[in-house]
Amino acid sequence: MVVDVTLGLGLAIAGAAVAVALPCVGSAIGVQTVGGAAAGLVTEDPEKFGKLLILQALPGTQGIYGLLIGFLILMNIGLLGGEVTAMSMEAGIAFLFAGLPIAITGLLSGVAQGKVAAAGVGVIAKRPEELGKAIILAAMVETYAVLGLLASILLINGIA
Amino acid sequence: MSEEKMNKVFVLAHQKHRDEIVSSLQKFGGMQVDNILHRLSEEDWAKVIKESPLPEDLELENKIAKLKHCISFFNVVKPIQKNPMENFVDLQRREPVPRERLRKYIQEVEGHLDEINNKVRELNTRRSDFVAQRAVMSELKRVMHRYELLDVDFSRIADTEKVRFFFGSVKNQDHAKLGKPGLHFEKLDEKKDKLIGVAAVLKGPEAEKAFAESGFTSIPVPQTHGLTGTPKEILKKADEKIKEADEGIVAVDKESKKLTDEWQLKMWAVFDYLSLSKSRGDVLNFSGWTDHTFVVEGWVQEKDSEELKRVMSNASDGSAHVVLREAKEGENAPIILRNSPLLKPFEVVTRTFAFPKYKEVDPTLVMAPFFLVFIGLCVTDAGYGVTLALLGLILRWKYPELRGFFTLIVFAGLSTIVWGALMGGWFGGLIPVDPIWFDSLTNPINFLILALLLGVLQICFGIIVSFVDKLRRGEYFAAFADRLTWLFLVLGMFSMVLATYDVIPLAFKDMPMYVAVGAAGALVLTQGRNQKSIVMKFLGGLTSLYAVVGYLSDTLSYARLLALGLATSAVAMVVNTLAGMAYSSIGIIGIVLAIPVLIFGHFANILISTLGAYIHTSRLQYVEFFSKFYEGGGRKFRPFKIDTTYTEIDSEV
Repeated sequence: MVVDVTLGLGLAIAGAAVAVALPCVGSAIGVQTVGGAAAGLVTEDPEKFGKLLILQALPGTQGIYGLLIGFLILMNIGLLGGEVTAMSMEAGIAFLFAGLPIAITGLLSGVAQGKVAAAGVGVIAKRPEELGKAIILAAMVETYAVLGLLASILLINGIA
Repeated sequence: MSEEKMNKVFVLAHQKHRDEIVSSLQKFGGMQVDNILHRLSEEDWAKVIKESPLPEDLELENKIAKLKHCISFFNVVKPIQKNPMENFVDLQRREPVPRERLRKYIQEVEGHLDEINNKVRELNTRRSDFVAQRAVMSELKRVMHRYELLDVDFSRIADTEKVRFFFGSVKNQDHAKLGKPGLHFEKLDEKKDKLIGVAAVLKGPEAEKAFAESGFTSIPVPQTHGLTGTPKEILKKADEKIKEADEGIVAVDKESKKLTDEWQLKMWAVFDYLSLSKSRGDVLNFSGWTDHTFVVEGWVQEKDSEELKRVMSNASDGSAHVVLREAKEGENAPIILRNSPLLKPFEVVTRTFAFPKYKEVDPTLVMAPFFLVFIGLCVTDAGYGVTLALLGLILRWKYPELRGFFTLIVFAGLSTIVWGALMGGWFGGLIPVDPIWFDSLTNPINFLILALLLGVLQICFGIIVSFVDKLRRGEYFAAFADRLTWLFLVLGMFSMVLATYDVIPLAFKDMPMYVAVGAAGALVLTQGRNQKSIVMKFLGGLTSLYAVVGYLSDTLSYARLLALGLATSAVAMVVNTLAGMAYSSIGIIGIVLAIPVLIFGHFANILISTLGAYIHTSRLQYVEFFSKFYEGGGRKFRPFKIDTTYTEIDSEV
């Protein structure tokens, strides 16, 4: 079952690919940064593991958002349930660009959020009862990933 | 409030009863002891009480330190069996030691403590010496292997009065240069275009100049760590040293095990016993003293107060005086959460974030229904829900100490079954049952709308909770100006969005806009009220509207429910497709391949999805919901009680 791929369709797929790949990379790096810091704390204080796991999950959001946009694009071009229709090159480029907001913001904010969450691990080391504040500090960075998500959603909705 | 009522308590007694009082308090286990000496900064207190005049029990501290040293050695030789669950919760099973045996242990350990302590130190040193010896010799072997074929005793390459010796190599074509006067070259080995050997150089300018021109390259003589002979001989000696070290380590380990088997449990018990004694001493150090009496300050649950009075009376022939009162405003009483058994499993979510302060609203009640719904939405596969529920029930039965957490998993499973039946599949379509409401994979936009709707609902609920809380505290103006206004603004803006989708009946089409504008106006008028000048008041109000961005970001954050739910379903479908490929490609034999793929794939998917669901749902509660009304920062109630590390013992024998 091979789909007849035109240049337009290919560009749109590129949009979906970029929208998923870059934020996932950002999240992976962010989660890695926190994981390294958390591992250091676990050598001294293994009981804090549960709290550390939550901090480590925070930079993971960007990958999820990226996947979401990827889904939306694939749905709109018919590759995910539904039928693949012929797509002009212009439409393909449009989808490519629609994936960019979350791609770029996801990548960079994921890395950035990882650094803040890793600093939060330091908070937990000295004051484990202040987990909330550590989480909120990291979550502030996420606002911008959300804005990127919103932009991508609006763009895709606009094209389709 | 879902918190137990706490009473502040002061126990006043005569010093002659101090041991009885403290020991009874420890056995009672219901009073948290605070350090009363903080009050010395207050004048009227400083006039009456002073620090404890008792000397520090250095001998006790000394013994405990030595016991700790030995125990950490023993615990490495024979580690305590650890349950994997202990990554998250303290589960350690304590070995009970009856009184008679404890008395015997105390005597034995007291008699031999120094001896054992020294032996442990000696064993440690011996072992690390052997390990070091092994490492050094292994490294030496590695270096020496390179020179194995050379028949030269490096220790004999030493300079004399008139001659200097060098070990190294020279190029074949330069060999002749080493024949000049004052130089001599003894060849040991040939490699490609190089000759390896020892060069002898007469001390003096001509010979040394000729040597420098010969292009001879020195090879540094390796460090032999006291071993002599040719490389072959050194390698043999190194092997012997390694064998010696290995045998030494085995011997040390055997001795260590014997020592551990004999003393580990005894030292555990005595350590716990002495630690209990120390904590009793600590209580006396935290008390305030007069010439003949002492007073202990702390907290006790209201429902335990009568029993405390009774216990103190018994411990002091009726003479002790117990003062009880309610917590004053601003006093940070310790917290015990009190929730119905249905809510208790959700306490772990609140606790991980922060304990509520005394008399602050306990968010567990309002958070629980949202948590339940969201965690089901994140997994959205009914088959997985059944698995989770069953798993939770089994684990709950097996580890009763963790029943709260596992009950939560059962609830999560049930919620997942509901949402999976409504919008998802059963094991990713393995069991072909159509979703009752809509299929999330073909209609993700519906899922998204549902998620955002629930998000707006929770956010508004958070504002309402804060509104009610402020009313309860008597902050009426703040309640209306800070909370009700935002509620109307958020609802108004939300309705405006709905209006563009023609969901609002025509007659009311403009109402959302009026509501939103009115609320915004109220905010502009009130949010700057703490500023000095009229202009600043106005600007303060205007800039407060910026928070709309925050509310927008909060709402969008709930989109992750869609992403997580879809991701789980997608992966489940992929697992099924893979298994299907295994089955259809090699016929009936394919089943042998397909079944492990299914089991492993779905199991891994359940684990990852549930972990992600728990974490992200918790995160939504913490960041988007709690931030509206909850601060936390309270401390847990920690009563002074018999608290041991390794064993279960009586506090006194």
